[in-house]
Amino acid sequence: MKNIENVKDMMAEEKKDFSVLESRIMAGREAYQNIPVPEEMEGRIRRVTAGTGKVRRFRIAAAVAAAVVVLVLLPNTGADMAYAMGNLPVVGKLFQAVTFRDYQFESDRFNANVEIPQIVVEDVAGEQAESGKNEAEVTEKETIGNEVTEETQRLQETIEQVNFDIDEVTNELVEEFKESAELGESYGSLEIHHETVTDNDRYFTLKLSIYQGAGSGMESYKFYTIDKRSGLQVQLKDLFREDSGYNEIISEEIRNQMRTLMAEDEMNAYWVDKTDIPDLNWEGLKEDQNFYFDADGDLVLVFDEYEVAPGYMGAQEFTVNKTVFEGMLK
Amino acid sequence: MRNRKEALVRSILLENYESYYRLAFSYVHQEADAMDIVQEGACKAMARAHSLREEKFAGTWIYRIMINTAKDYLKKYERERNTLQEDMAAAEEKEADLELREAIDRLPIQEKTLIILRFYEDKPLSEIAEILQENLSTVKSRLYRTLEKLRRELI
Repeated sequence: MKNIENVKDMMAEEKKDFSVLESRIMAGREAYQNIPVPEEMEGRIRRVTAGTGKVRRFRIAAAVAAAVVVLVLLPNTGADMAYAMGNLPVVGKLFQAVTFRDYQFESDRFNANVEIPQIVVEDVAGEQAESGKNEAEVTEKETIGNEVTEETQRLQETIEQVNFDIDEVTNELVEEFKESAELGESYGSLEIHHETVTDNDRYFTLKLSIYQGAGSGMESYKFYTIDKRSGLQVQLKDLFREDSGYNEIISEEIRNQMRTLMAEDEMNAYWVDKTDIPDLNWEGLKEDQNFYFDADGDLVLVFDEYEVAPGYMGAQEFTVNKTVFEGMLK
Repeated sequence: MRNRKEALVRSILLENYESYYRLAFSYVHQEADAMDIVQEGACKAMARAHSLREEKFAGTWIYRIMINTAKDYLKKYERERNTLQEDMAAAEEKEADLELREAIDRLPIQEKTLIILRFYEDKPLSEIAEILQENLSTVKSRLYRTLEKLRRELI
């Protein structure tokens, strides 16, 4: 009991501190605005804007060159993947997320445990479209898969795109991690894992969980949902009819759940009905809000840390019963 | 058309160079470096003025160029950078809340930029989102997280 009291005190304290902090920051405003600007600056800006005094430095060229390399490399990866994913059979298809690459690292202060998935589709007959390293095999498949339907084509493109996106997102995180581990300053960790959260007649959803630790940890999730019927990747907005007003209705349902949770337990805090910093109030679902369908067919909306609540609440999931949204589906 | 965009960029640069300078100075704590960054950013903005798609975004676009120029600079010259302490000793600044200033200074560049733009430059969050090319909720959550972090440090 005493512990709970303490935590409550702490939370009250936290709230108080926030306004104190804000006024402290605001008090520093004048000092900031008084940072002296050397007189020379104006002349230099005038020269530049008059079209003379151009400063060209090698480092810009180097940065541009690096960017070009990246741009060249990535589409290549995509092209390879397109080749590898060629001729997926679309009828009686079996969706799977497999760990395609992994990355492990451990030192005194840095550790990474990364599993990078790719979505693979095979038909029930067992013909597998995996990585296309075996060129002969791929060629053979090409001849088999002559009758490529529109859906098959679309599905191929979708899978290719999703896999490419996953690759890009995860690579960036791994590179970032490697860079800081190389510098060796401070400490950090990176965890990436995947899970198939939906696999029903209609949808396949792959969840990517990302945990980045450096000082305080940061967890985030990405969901990739493929509509098996259309062969397209779907975002939340694609599920509903445009005129259905789904956003307001579901957002309000979630706000009500937040209110209930807050009434039930003082420890719960969500950014709803906030009057002290109204800027922070949750504005409702994003068009590409993370979501998946659970086993009951209810819609689960997923929010990253800080998206709808203070950091100590962590990432949040709200389940909306299908009776709320069924009538609004496309 | 091209000239009109250049003229627009020119006038924004001339009007706001002091803000860019202060922001750059907050990153590097060195007059000479801060001036280099702003000049380089101004060069880039002028050179790319014709590629500016919408004139109403010219202001946020230039801010973004300045911030990116400063980031490139920091990446390149991080090791040679003066520490705040040296800088503080050199400049005789009368500032009451040194603790807060140091805490803000220790923030990663993204978070520092956010605090400066929001509280010192009085930019609305929507404009900051535009400058940083993030969506509003990302900026909001980052602001909250940054405030939380500062508060923790200052306890």
